[in-house]
Amino acid sequence: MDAVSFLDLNLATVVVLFLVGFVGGMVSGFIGSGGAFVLTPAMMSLGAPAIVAVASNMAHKFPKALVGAFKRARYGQVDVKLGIMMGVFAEAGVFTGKVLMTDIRSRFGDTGTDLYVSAIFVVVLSTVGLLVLRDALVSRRREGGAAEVEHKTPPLARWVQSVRIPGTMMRFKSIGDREVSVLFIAPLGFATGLLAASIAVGGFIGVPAMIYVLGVPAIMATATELVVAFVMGFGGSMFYAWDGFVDIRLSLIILAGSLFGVQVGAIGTTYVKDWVVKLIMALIMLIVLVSRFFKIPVYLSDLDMIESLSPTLSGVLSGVSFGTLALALLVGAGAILGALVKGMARHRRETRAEADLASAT
Amino acid sequence: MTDPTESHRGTQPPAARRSPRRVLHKARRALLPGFLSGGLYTLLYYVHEDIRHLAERTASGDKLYFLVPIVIAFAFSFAHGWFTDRFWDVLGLRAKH
Repeated sequence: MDAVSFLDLNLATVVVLFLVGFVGGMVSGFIGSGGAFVLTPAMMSLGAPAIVAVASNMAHKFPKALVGAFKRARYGQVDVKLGIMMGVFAEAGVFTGKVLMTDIRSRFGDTGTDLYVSAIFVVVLSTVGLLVLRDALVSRRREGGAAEVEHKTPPLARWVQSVRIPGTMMRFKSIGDREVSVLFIAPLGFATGLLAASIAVGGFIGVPAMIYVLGVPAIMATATELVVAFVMGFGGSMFYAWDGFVDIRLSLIILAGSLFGVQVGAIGTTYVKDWVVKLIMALIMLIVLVSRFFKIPVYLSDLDMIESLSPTLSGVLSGVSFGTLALALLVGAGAILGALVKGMARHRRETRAEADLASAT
Repeated sequence: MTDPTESHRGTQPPAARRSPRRVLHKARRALLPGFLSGGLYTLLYYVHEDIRHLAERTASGDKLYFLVPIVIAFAFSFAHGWFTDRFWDVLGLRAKH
């Protein structure tokens, strides 16, 4: 095996990784995943080989998910049993995804895998992103932005919960102590892992699947996704560590920033309503989708399906695509901070009003 | 990592929760995890070349130390996660429930 070339670290590299880690951590703590789609290309553009960037990203992801899951478990938002079940099937999805990617690469080269990844991005993000956005806006309108509204189980989830398959039923607290067949959880977990192996953000399918197919409330789904991410990330990291691809120095620098961020994101979930989580998730997914459109001409040119683009134009389009990914992360982080500040101010006003009322009586 | 005062937070008036004495108390509680996390990162700075060497050995076929990065990641997540939790608490950023 060829020697692995690890990145030489300098102050600028450390600062960039720390900051991207912080923002990615905040998004992860809030929506259960995120950051990886920027971190891996960021590490590669700093000079890390692709395999080292993917492995090091994964080795920072599982401890971050662990800390986030612990934090949100303290708020009663985590369904550990569901997270582990989904995680085990997701692990199978990760390994299948890796085999699939390797196979596509050996048949069609790097452009083939790029197109495969882009196609997954476009299909998943456009369908799931729009579905989540529509649902968030409907919930917001129904709620009128005021009083707490009881979680409503989506129609598909009601049907899934009604199906009884003897010997496969498991009870989960996140769906009101109801039972669901493991046969429904298996493909959802598997798809989450497959997506994680392809675009590094399994949560884009795992969280909506838990919400709309199993009937888990959005805040609990994003928290449970952290358990799934831990199980997947731990298995994946072992796999990469065995081959010596993990540059733990990179992982720990990102972790330094992301653990500050994951705490903020987790705290943020206690101040917002279910639809806010969905809205921010949809926002990030749709901006990530836009970033793919800038890359499509580059891939088509590489495959000689359109007139070949000049290297400068290809570079500009790739740069704009990466910039849009970074924008998705920043917009998500900004929206989380905005929701947190507004929620804290509202809570402070309510607490003060309660204290005034108590002292008056 | 559990904060024993957490269950009383919702019932305390905001002024009591942010009094200088209380902030100082919280800052003191952040010291131990802060030193632990800082110590680990300082150690990483001094031994990072050795860690890189271990990874290169693993990549070249010697699997004796392949678990080292995983163990390191767990140790840092415990120490630094503990510290970041206390850090935001000192700054007054805490959960609603």
